[in-house]
Amino acid sequence: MNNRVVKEQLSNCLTLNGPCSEKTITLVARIHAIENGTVTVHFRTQRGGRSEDLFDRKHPVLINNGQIPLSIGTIAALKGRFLSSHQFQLQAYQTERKWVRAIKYGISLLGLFATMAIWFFTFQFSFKAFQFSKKRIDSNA
Amino acid sequence: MPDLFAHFTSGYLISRYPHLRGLTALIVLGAVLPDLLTRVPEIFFDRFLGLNVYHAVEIFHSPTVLFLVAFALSLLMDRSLRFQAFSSIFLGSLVHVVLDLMQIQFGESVYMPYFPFSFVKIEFGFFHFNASIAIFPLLLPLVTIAFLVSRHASKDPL
Repeated sequence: MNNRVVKEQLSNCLTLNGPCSEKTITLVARIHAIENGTVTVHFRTQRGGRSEDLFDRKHPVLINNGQIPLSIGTIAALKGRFLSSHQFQLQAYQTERKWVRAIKYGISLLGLFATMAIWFFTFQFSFKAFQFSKKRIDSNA
Repeated sequence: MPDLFAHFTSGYLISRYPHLRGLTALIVLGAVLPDLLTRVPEIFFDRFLGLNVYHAVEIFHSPTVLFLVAFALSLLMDRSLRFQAFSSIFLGSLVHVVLDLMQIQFGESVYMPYFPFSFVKIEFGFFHFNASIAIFPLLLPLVTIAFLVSRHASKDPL
């Protein structure tokens, strides 16, 4: 059973309508509550950018071995397996600070602009022929 | 994925090889192409329209699919450039895929290099997926120096 199938089963597992996979999987979750050292999370059951729609807030899950030094609201990738629909045995976790992603996007935009600059210095587009051709003769070609 | 600047750098540095210098634009396009085809639709459809296209666009990190994309893009080039365009774009995109496969993802890999023949996901685990941020301060001067040396050595710096 691959990870995609496992993830598709997750919604059913959380709502008690289906079995929980015993396979070790990695899922994204948001820390819902931390009380007396006990951590509960909401798992992300959908992909996309609208974060308010992505996490299954109706079904908080208790994290076993939940000594996660993270604050409420933090989003983290959790690796482990379900013991039941309400319990997740944590094996490892990873979180990413918001600035890391912002910097990565910024650096990526620089790479994109550099690519576009080289492209537009090298080629021109003719709508008549509907094709790109070189702007100048390249002495090194 | 390494960031797009790391992919751009990989393509740009390869194109400093004298025989490939005239193909710089095509090679760097190939080097960023898989992420353009994957991340842009993801951002547009997922974030703005709420449509889940993640599994559909994952295929653009497969050499077989990139072969077809490079072929399709080469048809947009002048006839005399088509073979060069196809081979350069495909070369750049293969370098991209190899770099992506070298990462360590948390959990399982997200790349299916054998698609459509297999859905097996592969990673080699040589570096963390955010390692490219750490080496950006090295890559930026490296590209700048390569650009300046090229400009000094040739009338065509790109």
